[in-house]
Amino acid sequence: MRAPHRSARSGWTLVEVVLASTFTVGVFAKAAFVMESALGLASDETASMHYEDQARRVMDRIGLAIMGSDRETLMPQIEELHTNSIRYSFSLGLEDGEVVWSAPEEIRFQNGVGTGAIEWRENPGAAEERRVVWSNLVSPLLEGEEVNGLDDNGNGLIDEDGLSFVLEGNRIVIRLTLRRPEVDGRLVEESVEHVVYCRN
Amino acid sequence: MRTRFLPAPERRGSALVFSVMSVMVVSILAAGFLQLSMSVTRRLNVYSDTQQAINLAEAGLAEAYSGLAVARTGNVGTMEAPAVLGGGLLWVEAEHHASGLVELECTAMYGTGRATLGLVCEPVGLGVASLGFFTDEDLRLNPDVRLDSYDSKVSTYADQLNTALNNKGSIGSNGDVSVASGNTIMGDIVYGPTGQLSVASGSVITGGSSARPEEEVLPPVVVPDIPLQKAVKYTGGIPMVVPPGQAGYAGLDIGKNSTLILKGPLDLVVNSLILRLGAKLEFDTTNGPVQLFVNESLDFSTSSVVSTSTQVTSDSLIFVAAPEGKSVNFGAKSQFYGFIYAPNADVHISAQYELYGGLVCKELQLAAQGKMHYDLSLGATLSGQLPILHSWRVVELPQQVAARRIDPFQLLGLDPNDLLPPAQSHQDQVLDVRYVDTSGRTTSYFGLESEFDWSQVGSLLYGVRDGIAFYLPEDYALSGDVANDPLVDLVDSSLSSKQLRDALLAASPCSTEALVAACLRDPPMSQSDLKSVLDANDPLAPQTLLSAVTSPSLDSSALKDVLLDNSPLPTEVLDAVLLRNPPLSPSDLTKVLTIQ
Amino acid sequence: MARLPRSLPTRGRQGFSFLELIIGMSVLLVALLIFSSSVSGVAKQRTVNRETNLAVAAARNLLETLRSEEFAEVYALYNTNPGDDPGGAGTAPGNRFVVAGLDDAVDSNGFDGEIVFPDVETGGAWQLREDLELPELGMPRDLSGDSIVDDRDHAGSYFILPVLIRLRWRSPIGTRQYEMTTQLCQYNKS
Repeated sequence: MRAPHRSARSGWTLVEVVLASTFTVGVFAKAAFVMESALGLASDETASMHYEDQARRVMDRIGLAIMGSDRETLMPQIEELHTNSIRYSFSLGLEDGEVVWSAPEEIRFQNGVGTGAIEWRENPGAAEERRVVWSNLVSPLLEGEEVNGLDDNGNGLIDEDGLSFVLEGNRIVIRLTLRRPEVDGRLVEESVEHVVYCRN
Repeated sequence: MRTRFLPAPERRGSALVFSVMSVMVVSILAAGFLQLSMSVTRRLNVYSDTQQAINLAEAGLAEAYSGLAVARTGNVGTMEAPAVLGGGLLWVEAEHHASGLVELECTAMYGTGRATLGLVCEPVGLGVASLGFFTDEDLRLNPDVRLDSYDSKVSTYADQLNTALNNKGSIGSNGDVSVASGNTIMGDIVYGPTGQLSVASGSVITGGSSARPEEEVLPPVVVPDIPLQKAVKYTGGIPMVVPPGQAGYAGLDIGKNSTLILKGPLDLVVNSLILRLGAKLEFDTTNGPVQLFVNESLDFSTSSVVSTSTQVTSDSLIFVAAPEGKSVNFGAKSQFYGFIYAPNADVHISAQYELYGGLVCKELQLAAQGKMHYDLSLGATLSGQLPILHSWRVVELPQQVAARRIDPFQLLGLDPNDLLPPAQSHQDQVLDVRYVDTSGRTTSYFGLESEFDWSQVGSLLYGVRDGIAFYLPEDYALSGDVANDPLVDLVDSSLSSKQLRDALLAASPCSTEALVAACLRDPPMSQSDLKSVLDANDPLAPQTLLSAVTSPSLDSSALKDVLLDNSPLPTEVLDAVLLRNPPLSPSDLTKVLTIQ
Repeated sequence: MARLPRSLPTRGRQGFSFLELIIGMSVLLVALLIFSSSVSGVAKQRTVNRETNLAVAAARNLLETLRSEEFAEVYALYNTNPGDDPGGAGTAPGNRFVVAGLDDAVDSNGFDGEIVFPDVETGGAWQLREDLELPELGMPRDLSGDSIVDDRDHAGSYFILPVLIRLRWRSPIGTRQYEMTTQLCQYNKS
């Protein structure tokens, strides 16, 4: 008497299992899809946030370094043309009643394979030269720009590098694009623009 | 059968385990994203607050820097009582260097943001000469000394005697100031922060007096590096001439009746300089200034003569670098147009050494009846001239500021409502202003700026902070807004009724303007004091009598005595007496009318 | 007694796997929900951060630009009044500006930001005044260096200039505002 009863219950279990499997597969597929989308979104957002953050911090560092420079001693001095490096000195304050200036420093763009780097150098070219890479995620060209002799991104500059300096009177406009290919092949780009007035 | 069911307990809950593991993975991912997001957000907030702090620090530097252009000290707020602006707070510390450079450092705090910015600048035209007559230690004046002022750019001293320009002397000390009987101080006295002013009866101080907020630092004399020739003892009959350029002597001893001529432009360094009996020293500044640097000692004997070829006080400069405790003696007969700076020396000046210019020294012995006339052109006149900016920089945050990145008001235990904005947070100073108030009355103030109400000022005629003019129109001396009679300033000063009486009695006969001002003084002089002054100035002019009639100081009886002493009275005075409110008593009026 | 141990596990296995599945899936769904809400939170925070970043950069860049201008012309160049523009009426940037990236401006004209000076419109003319009650700018205060706070126009006689940059825009989290304050003065570099 017990066996048929158990057999009947086994059939329900099979139906149950089929239904459940279908349902489970559906739910898991959907969940996987949601997960993938969410993960994609989250990774996009966090990557963007991260690069935005890094671009801002690098730019802030460049801005603070140049802020205390003397406009008259900046190298190069050419106005309206963009450069990818800048050499400057800044005030260290008073020592024995005299204003003391720092050793020359330079911030420059170094092109690499795929991405470039921002390099800070103290006493550039001298025997005691010291160098630090501030970021190695710099795009070879500024966002939206191509090497074609045209101003592709409409900022008035032609074929500018991923780090560019433009001297406009007493102020310097600094533009920077950080770029990094993600594991899925996508390119994450973040651009920032800083205006710095030379105080000295 | 047993074996069929054996795996059951192992499989039981496997989906749940899988779910929980999935949840854990998902949670870890979510937590990771959230943490990254939070850390980026936190960094962004710190960056945003730091940008705010940088701009507030810039605001503080602008406040202090532009303040220097109007003779402020450059100190704005303190860490304990900072200035509040734009939701943050700031304070500026100024360090004045002996080289004349001023270093400003502004620290600002906003939220979690902190910034310290600094600049080095050089205020224009500032120098110790703006201190006037100043001693680093107590200044005790001997009796019958006269200290006053004039402006060599306007005209001669004689032309400016008893004018407004004669009444702007600047007498100061880092210690006490004692004014002796018979002294005439035509101007202001600023004594040390912890010092005192003692005024003997029978002296006149036409200006105000106040303690300086902090001690003046006297920079050391920087002697030019000029090789010294061996000492010279000169007794020749023809003058010894030191030609223009640079020269140095281990000593210069000018013998009896010999003459030494210093031809400018010249920088002369001597270890010692002696003028013997009848010796003469001439500063020939026709072609340029003469700067005399004395390393050890200076002695101009009583019968020697010192002269200057021009009256340009900034062209004849004596710098005494003598070590502490050394005395230098200006005993010569002279009308010396120049400036003497001796930050470590005790300076003795005889009554016959009349100084036109300025003197800053450690101690001063000015003989009785000595005269010194401060040349206002030596003083700094900023008139809003901006300091020269030498450098700007980002300064490393002070340790106590860098620590604990929390709300600055909470950190420092301050209520923003109790704090003042930057413009009202400048360090306190001694203010000397003459102005037209909102009711159109020309008046003046001398004292701490914190006790002065700027809102009562309609327009400024001139303004001086710590002896440095920050507002001085070029034509101010010619302006009718400035009192011509220094005694009027004396009446307007904060002297007590008794002090004013003594001063006016000492200066009698007084001008009509001064007597009118005394009659109408607010707060009024006491009746007996005013009456003494009026009695000492009989006969009184009609304007004085008219003022006496309306004076709040005199009651019916006292006024009657004044009127009787000056009878017969002019018609307009009699009319005023009859219209007086309150009227004279019938008996007093009868006596006045009877005698006419 | 001999069946009982056999039947119990069987009954347990038959019903429990389904229940287990339901519970498991529910837990998973909740977790997914939490995850997606946290992802959406991160996305929203990223938007907020991006906006903040843009606002801070815009404000500081504008203040740097103001500093680089001829000090005596700053007010005329960046005030509300186009009539006093140094290069001719309407040639100056004025007091309103757009920030690229902050697209949903609160301002009806589409401007995200404004530059605020201590000025007021009186009888159709704008005046830079010392007597305005603007605590956020440290006002009232002397602007001309004579230490007096008066009611005159100091557009041509200021020697210190308080300035506030204010940005307002619509964000996914509501209307947002960002302000940055400073004071400008003329530095004598000669």
